[in-house]
Amino acid sequence: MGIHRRYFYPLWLRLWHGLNAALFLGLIFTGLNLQYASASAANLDFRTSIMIHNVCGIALSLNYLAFVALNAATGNGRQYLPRLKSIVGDMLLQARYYLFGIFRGDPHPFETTPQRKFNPLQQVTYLLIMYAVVPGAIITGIGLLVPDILVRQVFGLSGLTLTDLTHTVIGFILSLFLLGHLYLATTGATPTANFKAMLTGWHEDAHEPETTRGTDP
Amino acid sequence: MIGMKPLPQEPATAVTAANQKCLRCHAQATLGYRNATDGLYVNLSVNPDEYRASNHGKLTCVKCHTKAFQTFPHPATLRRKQLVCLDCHKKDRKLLKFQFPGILREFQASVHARKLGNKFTCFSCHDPHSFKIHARVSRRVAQTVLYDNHICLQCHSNESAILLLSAKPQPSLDLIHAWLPHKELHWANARCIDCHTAPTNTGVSHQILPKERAVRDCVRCHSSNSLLLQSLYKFQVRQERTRDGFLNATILNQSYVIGATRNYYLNVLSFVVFGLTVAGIAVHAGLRRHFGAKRASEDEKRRRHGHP
Repeated sequence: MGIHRRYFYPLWLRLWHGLNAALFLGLIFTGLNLQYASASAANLDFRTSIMIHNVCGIALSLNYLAFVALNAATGNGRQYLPRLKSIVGDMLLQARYYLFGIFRGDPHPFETTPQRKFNPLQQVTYLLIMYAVVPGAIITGIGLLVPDILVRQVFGLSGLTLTDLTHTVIGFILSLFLLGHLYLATTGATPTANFKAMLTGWHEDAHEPETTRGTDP
Repeated sequence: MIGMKPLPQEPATAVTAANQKCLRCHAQATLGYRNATDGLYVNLSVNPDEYRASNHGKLTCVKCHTKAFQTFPHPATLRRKQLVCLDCHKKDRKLLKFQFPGILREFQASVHARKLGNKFTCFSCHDPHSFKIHARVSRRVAQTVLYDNHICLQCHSNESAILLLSAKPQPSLDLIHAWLPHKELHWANARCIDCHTAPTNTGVSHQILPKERAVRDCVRCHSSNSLLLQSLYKFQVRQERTRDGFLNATILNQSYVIGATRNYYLNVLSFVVFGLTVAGIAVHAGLRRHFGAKRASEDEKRRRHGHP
């Protein structure tokens, strides 16, 4: 018994993740500042907020392109694809673990391996977030950055209003994701194990994983 | 001069017939002369179609211009008579709601009146022969913006007009607004006067401020207590409140202002969902801690009793 370590996260992935996280926080903070803008001293200056939000948004978009390219180049993109045949059952199994098993101290229902780092719920959530929600934020963000390219009217509603509403709702969904993501990251071998793993690349297991016994680097 | 309902009317056909005599000459597009004393061009031309469609369109010309103009050639002494909007607009009780005395006070405190004195009158901006009430009645803010900004741009995009009035060259509007993000978008969706006047109680503030006192603080408009609600959206807000009783609907359907455009229901929903998520996480974390501690103490007991 004891903590077993395996190298899971290559440097590029950790750099991407760190940069993404920092930009995410900057965008949420300045986004809230813009949405709830007021002259109060608690608010960052409006123009500074816009400037930071724009710079972070552009940087996050470039970082996203790098993520897509590197996912394709390294094969890491496969991590996000759930097993379609058993997807519903797998997700329920993982949900049941989070709702009940975790309190009983049951082992994680899906063992993490370098080939399958994410559990089925992670796969589906990350797939939706990274390939639908984040691109949505980027596309609507570009629309707000260069409003001239927007459709002026959509069914009688201003295109700008619609774009902003979508951008705000997406921003809100991503904030909720961040909350859940940070909390579930505490469910590793120890509450801080996953945070350390994203810094060092080394994933920790409470038990020696069966699939890699004897093959640790 | 601000929008108004016409004064007591003569029948439309009689008005047209009476005005026709004047328009035989004054409908000519180039009718006018350059004043020898100040060099300003005095435009004597009236577009009949614009006049008929204007708020004054149902008045006979001599209602304002005195019956002495019915003789031709017009007596030279009439040329010196300066018309004043308040001659009619102060006396008529029906026009009280337009607050002309207040507008006059604002105008007198404006940078135009202070710097240009008698060279600047109501008619410098408002042509009484084509003037149409806009902000109060328009349901489309964009049209009000276009109409009102055109009034300012008559001079402020016309170098010779500015030179004649102030003897100073007009600085480039692009350059002096370079600090304003998305300036074209601002110009299409807000009026010059929304930033360049002091907020007042009259319908449309006429107290144009010196440029260094114009609004530069973004959150004056970009916040829930937006300045625009007291200016550009003043009448819209009143109308919509009466009709829908819901302020957000106005803003949401008419335009989009970062920080001011907030949908009330979405706002509440977002706070509830966020609160529930945080509460859910807190409960889950609490249960994990509780059962974790319980398991740890059971393990401890088992160890003490010699069980592995």
